[in-house]
Amino acid sequence: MKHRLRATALLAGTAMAVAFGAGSASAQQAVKIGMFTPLTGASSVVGLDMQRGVELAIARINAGFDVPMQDGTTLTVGPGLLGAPINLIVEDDESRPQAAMDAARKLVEVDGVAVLIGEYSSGRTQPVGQYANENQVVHISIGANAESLRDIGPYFFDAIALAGLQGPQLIAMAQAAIGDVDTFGTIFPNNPYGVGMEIATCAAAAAIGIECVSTIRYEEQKTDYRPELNQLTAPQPDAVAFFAYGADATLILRQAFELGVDAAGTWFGAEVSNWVADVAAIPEVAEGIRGVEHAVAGELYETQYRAAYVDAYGEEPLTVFGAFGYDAAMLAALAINAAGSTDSDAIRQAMHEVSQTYLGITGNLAFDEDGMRMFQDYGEFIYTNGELVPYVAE
Amino acid sequence: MTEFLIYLATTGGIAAMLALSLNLQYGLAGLVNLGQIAFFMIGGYVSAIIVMLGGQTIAIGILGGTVAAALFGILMALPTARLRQDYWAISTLAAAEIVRLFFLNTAFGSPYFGQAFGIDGIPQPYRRAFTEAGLTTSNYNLFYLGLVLVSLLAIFLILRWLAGTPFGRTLKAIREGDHVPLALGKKVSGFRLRAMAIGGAVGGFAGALFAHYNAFINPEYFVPIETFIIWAMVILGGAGNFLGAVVGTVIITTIYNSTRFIASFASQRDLELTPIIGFIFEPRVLGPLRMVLIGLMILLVILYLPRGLVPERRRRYGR
Repeated sequence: MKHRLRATALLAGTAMAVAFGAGSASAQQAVKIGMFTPLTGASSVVGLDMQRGVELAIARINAGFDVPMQDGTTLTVGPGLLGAPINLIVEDDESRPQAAMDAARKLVEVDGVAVLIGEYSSGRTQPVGQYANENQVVHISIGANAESLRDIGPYFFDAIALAGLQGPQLIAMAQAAIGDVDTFGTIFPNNPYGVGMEIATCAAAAAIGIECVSTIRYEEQKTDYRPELNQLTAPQPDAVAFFAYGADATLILRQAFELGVDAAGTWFGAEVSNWVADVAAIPEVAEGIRGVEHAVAGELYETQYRAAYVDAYGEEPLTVFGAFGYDAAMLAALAINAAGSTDSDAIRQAMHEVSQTYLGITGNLAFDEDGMRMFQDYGEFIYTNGELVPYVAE
Repeated sequence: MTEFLIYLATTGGIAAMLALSLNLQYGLAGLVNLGQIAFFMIGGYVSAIIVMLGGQTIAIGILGGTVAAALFGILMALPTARLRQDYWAISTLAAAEIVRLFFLNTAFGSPYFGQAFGIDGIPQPYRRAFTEAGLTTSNYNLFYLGLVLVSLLAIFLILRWLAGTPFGRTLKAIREGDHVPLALGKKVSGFRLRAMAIGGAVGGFAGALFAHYNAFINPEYFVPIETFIIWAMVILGGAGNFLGAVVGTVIITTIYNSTRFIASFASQRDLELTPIIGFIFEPRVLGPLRMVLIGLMILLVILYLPRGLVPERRRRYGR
């Protein structure tokens, strides 16, 4: 009840601030930040989590907040920005690329947002990024990490590192965990993220003489993955890199378990937190599976994000992507604050500057010259007794 | 706001071409094509590939996309032309999925060109000329809207003219059953084939226009649900009437996007919202609400206006 009351109070406050521009400033004066996120469809859990992360950051800036910096100091920002509260406008993109473009266009052309935040899927982020760049609107992606995003243009920034960085990490983890690895198999969804991961993993493997003997790209939302699993295991790879989420994760892990695949011994997952909630009812199918995940846990994450999230929403963060949403919104606010205006070029330039100094709850968000996050810490985890715990190779 | 309306009119105009194409196949010829989106996809991909990899002009790309989709229409009709309507429908759905899976799994030159990544940076017609002339993006969007509307009008007039020709009348006869056209010595399979080719060409042309407007396509744009949205437009407007297909498109496009403004409309006017109404205004509820609204409208139309909002005018002959 206490959580619910707090959540209601915070949400009501945020909603009031969002809807009416909190305080005495008029809606016209408010700095508008737009967010498009999948609140319905296949990615709705991630979408809601990202929305919550962004809302937490905006609520803090609107209330006035001491933002932590990398040099150990803090920078007081707010209440609000440029003398007025931030007006966050959220649009559902239905997990569909065309609806994502509709939402982004509405945010830019009707609402006139200064910064656009979103999304998680690379396939939906890419066209919106192109559009935003063409119209010189700063766009910050939260969780999309296909390699092709690098070329979008100068107004595009990515708060999460590109998928390529995870490939070498998975290979290194497999080698440390099971020793002599000569062959690798991969099973990833046939989407920009999955194919990007496959390319990055096999390239990292080839660089040290490991051969990718089976590369399976599965269609999402199928009702049977046994043919894919049989194809994956037929050449008997020493180790397997995989990724799945939602109902697909449950089915793939359950069918692998039923087929007698030694997932606990040989499978290494990318972004493993994605399926933890999905296998909660049948934890035995994932027992012992190891993998990497964005290392967002830490003192700053615990004190500044997780505790506030639990306070506001009465439950643990749904995924890691809410934290990236929080950082994306903080960067946007810091950049507008530093630019001293909502001019796109001034915000774009300020984005590079503030990314070098802001201490994010997901780590160091410094952007390279293409606006891509340069550093990303990955933690190694093992799924045991129904939860993910840090893994240390024996 | 004007910019957004121009965008909606442009994408709505392109969707209307798809609806017209489907209306030719279903409304006139009775062909239940559940793979309509395949034409759209082929038109977009082939045009982008011709321009970006083949180095040809955008006009040639659009022409190539149109012809390729027409040929696919023929290819789709050839082995299935003799199938009964239900089997025909299933085969078109399968054909569209084959096309989507082909593009989903095919890289063109580089691993990041094609496949799941799609094609980005697709050139837009006369874009450079607009930039060199110092004209703005708004000017260009207005130009593209003009291009789409002129094309839509041309397609509308051509298809309506076609419906009145002996070819169109034969298609209508086929729609009512094969017996009459067969008794008149008409080769039914040949007419179906031509209907699919023309429908394919229109759908492919729309796909090419979309690819060059959006400057990005990937297989996520061409999933089966998109075909069913086009079907909703045709059924709502009135199958068999080309004006109905356009009206249906306008309604569906309006429902899809107007719901985005409900919440801000309420907040701007300080409306007192009850908890239930406030819940409905949440973005995560408005999304599914759109589909519920569209489904409800279709149900009501089927129940009370089975021939659609703008029914086909059927000529009555002497009794």
